[in-house]
Amino acid sequence: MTNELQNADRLSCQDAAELLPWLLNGSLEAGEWQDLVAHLAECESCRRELEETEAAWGVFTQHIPSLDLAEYAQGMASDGMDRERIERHLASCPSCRRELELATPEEVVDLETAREERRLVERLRGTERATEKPVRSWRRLAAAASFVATLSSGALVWSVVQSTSLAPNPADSTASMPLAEGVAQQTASESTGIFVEGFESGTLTAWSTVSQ
Amino acid sequence: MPPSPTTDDAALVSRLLAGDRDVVELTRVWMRGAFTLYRTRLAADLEDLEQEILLELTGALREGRFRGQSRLRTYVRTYVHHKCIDRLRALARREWVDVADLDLPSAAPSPLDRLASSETAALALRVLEEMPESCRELWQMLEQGMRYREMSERLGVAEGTLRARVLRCRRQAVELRAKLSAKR
Repeated sequence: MTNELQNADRLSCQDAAELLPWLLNGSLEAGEWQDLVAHLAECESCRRELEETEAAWGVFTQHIPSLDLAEYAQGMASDGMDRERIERHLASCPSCRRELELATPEEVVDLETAREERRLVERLRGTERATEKPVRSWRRLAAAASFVATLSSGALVWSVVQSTSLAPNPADSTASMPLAEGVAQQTASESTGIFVEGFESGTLTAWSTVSQ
Repeated sequence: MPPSPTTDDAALVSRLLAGDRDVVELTRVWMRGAFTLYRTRLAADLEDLEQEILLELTGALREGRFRGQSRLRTYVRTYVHHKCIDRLRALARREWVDVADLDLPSAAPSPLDRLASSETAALALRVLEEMPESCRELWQMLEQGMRYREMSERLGVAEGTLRARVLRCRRQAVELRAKLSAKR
């Protein structure tokens, strides 16, 4: 077969048609490539075969659009592909399954990034507090006492809060993840990744930056 | 009634678009968190990608494309995953040949251009769903850039047999695509 391919004039249309997928994936040897391209330049019928091969290539290399896949991974409603179609494709596409693993929220969190996020959120909250209304003192005391109890027991607790501060949105599926899960990657000494907010509304919230 | 951004997220978006340094930095921190699992695969691209994504994100926010279906943090991280997956796919495709570069006589636009639209993508996925698994496996190997000799060795079939099978799958896919396209 290699000898035949060395002479483009003797390259049959059948051989040319069969080699087209390997032309497209860029894996033909230099000699094969030259012979095939020379044949295509002279053969209209094989150029039509090339168009068909490209069309088939487009089918077989079609994957879930990346935005749809990312939204699916994050549990978001998507304006694009419906979930059933996505799941059917995932069942047969190892490549999309690998990408889905990369895009899921349960990735290992870089602690330095988590600490930086916490610092910035605190700073932003500080600029918001300058314009906030004063809170009843009994609520402050109750919140402070609860906070101390939480820290001293070492337990991670949280509750849904009605707050205008940077709290997780209860409608967001990830906000319902118990902190115990969210900090699964952290050791006990790293539980300072938890911070408290919610004084404004009078209820206590502990929000882990690891929850999403 | 469709959701809308929370007061907090709306405030963050306004401050981000106004160039508030803390909010820009917070957005970058969210992005870096999402980059974590791509660091090895996209090491050379991450810095440029971060800048590119931030620019696109602010454009999307300015156009009102964030509608509060999730928290802003989730929206930012989803966008990062979307762009990183796109970049990984582009890198995997870098060995593929662009037929336009072959300088062949042709009056028709490339079928790959037509396949760019999302409608065409949906059609392609429908066709793919109906193709036999044996065909999908063969073309997955092609997509990975395997030579026909490698494929025939891996599958334990003669090169001629392999090429004929791939050709049959190709013809079947094109016929099915034409059939499903006509039904739409």
